[in-house]
Amino acid sequence: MADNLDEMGRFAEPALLILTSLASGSKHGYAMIKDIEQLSGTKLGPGTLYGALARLEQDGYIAPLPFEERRRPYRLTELGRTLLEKQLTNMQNFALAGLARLGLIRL
Amino acid sequence: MYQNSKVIFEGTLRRCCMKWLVRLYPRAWRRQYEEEFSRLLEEYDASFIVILDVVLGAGDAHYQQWQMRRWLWPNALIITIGVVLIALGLIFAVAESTPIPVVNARSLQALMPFLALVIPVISLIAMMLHLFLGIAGIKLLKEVRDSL
Repeated sequence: MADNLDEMGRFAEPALLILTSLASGSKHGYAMIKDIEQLSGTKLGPGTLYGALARLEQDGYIAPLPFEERRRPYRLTELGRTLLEKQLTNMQNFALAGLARLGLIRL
Repeated sequence: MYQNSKVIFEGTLRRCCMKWLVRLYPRAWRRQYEEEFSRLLEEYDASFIVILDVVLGAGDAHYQQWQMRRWLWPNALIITIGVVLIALGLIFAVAESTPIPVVNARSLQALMPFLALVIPVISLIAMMLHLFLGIAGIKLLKEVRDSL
């Protein structure tokens, strides 16, 4: 099991986007794509989305819910929430350090 | 009329193309995701970028399956060899405890038909048991993770 999204290789970024999208509630594939597009401007392809989804499900970060008209929604698990929190905190620390070095903020 | 036929033709062509694309994925993957994935593909136009993305995704899914099999089979082999060796040890222990000594070539010859039958049967049972326990174990692990 990957305890870090970096271990997912080229699926690390889509996986982070999926986890962030699911943080606001369960969604099916197409709803995730639309939400991610709105959130980050990135439009995930279906192959990329399901490549990342399968990995996240296999590692227990997301869980499937029952089908709704041939669409299966997914929800974030506690494990997924913890991982997302860790990833976003790391990103926030990195961004703050970068902005401080540019002299734009004081730490 | 012509426009309607064109739309119907393009729709059919797109559905066929997408259906064919889904078949590029491994069977185990399709068992789990085919329905929802096909439904998602209905939302897309069959553009070059989308087709390329799906083809790359199928390649990745095959690679994932291969990785899993690569992990499973050496374990299956090691456990099978272990079980066969234990079984052989038990057979010889039983044979030694009988009044006929095993070191005697004639008694070994007498044991041969028995061994020829028992060893493949034990090997087969060990392999089946390992495969069953492996699949059950993976399912159980997934259920435990999902419940977290």
